[in-house]
Amino acid sequence: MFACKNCGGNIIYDIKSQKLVCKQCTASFAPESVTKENDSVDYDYFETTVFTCPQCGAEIMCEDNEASSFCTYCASSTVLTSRISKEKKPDYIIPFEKTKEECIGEFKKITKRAIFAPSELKDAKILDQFKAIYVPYWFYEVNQEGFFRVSGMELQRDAEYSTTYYFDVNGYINGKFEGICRDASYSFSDDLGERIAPFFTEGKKKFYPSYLSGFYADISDVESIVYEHEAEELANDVAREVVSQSSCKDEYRNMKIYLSNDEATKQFNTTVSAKRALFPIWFMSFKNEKKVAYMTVNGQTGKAASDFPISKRKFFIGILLLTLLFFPLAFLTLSLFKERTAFGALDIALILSAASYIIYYVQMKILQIKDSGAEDAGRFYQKTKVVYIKNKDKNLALKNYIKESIIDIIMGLFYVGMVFWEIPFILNIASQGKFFSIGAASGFFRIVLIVGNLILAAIGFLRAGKIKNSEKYYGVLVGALLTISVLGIQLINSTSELLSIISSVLLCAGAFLTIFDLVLYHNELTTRKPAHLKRRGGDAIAEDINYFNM
Amino acid sequence: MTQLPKILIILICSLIIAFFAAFIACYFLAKITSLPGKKSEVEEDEFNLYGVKYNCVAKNIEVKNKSYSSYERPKDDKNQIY
Repeated sequence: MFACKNCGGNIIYDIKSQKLVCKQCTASFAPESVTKENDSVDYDYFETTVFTCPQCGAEIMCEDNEASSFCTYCASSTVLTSRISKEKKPDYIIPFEKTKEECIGEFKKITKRAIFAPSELKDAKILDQFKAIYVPYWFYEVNQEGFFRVSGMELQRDAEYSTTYYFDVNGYINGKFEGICRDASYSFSDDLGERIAPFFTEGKKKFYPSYLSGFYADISDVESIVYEHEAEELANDVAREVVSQSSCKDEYRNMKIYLSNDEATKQFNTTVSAKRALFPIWFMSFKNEKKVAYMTVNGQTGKAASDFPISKRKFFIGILLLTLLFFPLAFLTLSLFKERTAFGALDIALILSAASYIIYYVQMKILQIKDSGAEDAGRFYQKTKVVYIKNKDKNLALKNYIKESIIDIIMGLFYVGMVFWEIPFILNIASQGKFFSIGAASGFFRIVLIVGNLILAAIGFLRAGKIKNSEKYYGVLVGALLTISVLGIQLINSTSELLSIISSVLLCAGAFLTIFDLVLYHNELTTRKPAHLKRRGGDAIAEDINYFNM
Repeated sequence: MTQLPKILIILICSLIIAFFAAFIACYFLAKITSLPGKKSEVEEDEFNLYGVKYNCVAKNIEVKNKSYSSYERPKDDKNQIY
C-alpha cells in the first residue's frame, strides 16, 4: 500500500488523471514522486505482495488486500495466500488509459456480434468483474549495423537484344528497432495477446512501483530467449526490404538488388536485447466447469478480444429458427417431386450428410492445431525448453504440410471424387428424376454415395481419435453406425417410400451428432485450464512433448 | 404397407432437409461469431510492425564489380549470329 504524504491514507493510480490520488483527502501525486522506503535501496528489485491461489496456483502481485478474496485466473472465490516478495523490477510500464466503463463499453461491442455467446457474458454484474491487470511483456530492442555485399541485376532491352547485367553491390546498413513486444506470461496466451495488440510504445513510462497501486500485476514466467528469434527475424525482414529497394546513382539507377534470407541474416550483424515491461489489460475470467474462458480488453487502446464458448441453448434455438426459415424453401423444392419426394429427399440428405463429414474432418484438423498449443511459443517453451520458431517461409511450410499430410491429400482427392460423383445426383434431382430415373442407375449411385458417406465418417472418427479427449467425442462414430444401417435398409428395399424417409432421418441424426461434436470441442478449446498447468509433474510434461512431436 | 399421404411425405421430408441445412449453417454462424478480432494471415504480417518504432537505412550503396553480362538473341531471329 502506498500512503498519502498529507494524511497517510491509501493512494491509488487514477486512470483519468494519470496520477496517484488519495481516497481520503483527494490529494494527487505524480507516480514517480511516490516511493516506498525500500524502493530506493534496491534498483533491480522492488518489494510487493504476491498472492497465490490455492485452487489453481496462479500468482499475482497486488498492493491491495482486496486481492485476497478472488482469483482472477480461475475465477474462484477463495482466500488467497499472500507473502511479501522481492520481484524483478520492470524497465517500462504503459499505464492504463481506458477506464473500466470504457473497457466494458468496448467489450459490449464485440459481444453484440457474438450471438451464440452465453447470455451471462452480457450481464452487467458479470461484466463488473473485469479486473485491471498489468501483464508482463518482453520489450525487444534490435540493432543492426555493418557492411554488406549482395548481388544486383539490371535488364536492358533494345530492338534486337535483351541483355542482363549482374553486379556485386556493397553497402552499409544501420537499423534500430524499438518496441517489438511479446507477452512474458505463461498464463496469458499468445493468441489473445496478438488479438488485442498493438500497444503503442510511445506511451511507455519508466517503471515506478507506485503505478501498480490499485491494480493487479502478473508475474513474468517466460524467458526472453523465447521470442528473441522472432524479434531478430522481424528486423531482418525490414532490413532486407530496405536493401532491396535501395537504388544506386546515375547509370546504375535501374539496377535491382536481390538477396537471399541467409545472406542478409549473416551480414546485418543483428543484436537483440530484451527489457521487461508491464502492459495494461482489462481481464475477466468466465468459469465453465473446471475450465475458464478469458475476456480481454487492451487497457491502452480499448481493443477487445475473447474466445467465446458457444451456448448450447442458443445453438439449439438458432437451429430451430433456421429450420423455420429453411422449411418453406425445402417445402417448395420437394413439392416439385410429387411422385418421388421421399427418394429425392434421401438423395439431398446423402449430399448434406457427405458435406457434414467433410466439414467435420476439416474443422477437426483446424481445432487440433489450436489444441496442441504448438503455436503458443511461451507455452511450448515452458513444456519443452525448446524455442518455437515460426516458419516464415511459406513454401517450406507448404512442403512440410504436404509431407506430413499424405492422409489429408488422399482425403482431398476423395472429397473431389465425392463431389463429382454427386453431380449426376444433383442433375437427377434438378430434372425431377428424368435424368437417371428411379431405376438401376439411380439405385447404384445411391448405394455408392452411402458407402462414400460411411468412409468419410470412419476417417473422421480416426481423425478425432488423435485428439487428447477423444473419448468424449462419439458423435461421428454414431453417425457411421447409422450410415451402416441406412446401407442395410437400402440394400434390402430401395423402393419403399417409408424406408427412404427413415433412412433420411437416420442420416440427419448421424450428421447432427457429428456437427455437435465440433461445438463441444470448440467449447473445450475456448476455455482453458488455469495457470496451475505449470506446476504439473514430469510425466505430464513428457506427455505434452510427445504430443507436440506427433 | 399402407401408403402415406403425399402431403405428409412432403412435410416430413421438408422438415428433415430444413433441419439438416439449419444445423450446418448454424455451426458456421456460431463459429464465425465466436472469435471476434481473429486476424487473417495477411493482417498478421502487417500487424507485426504496428507499434514498433524503427529506423532502418541502407547507405553508401555502390557497385563494386560488374561481374558478367549475358546476351539473348531476339526470339524471331534465331539464326542470326552476333
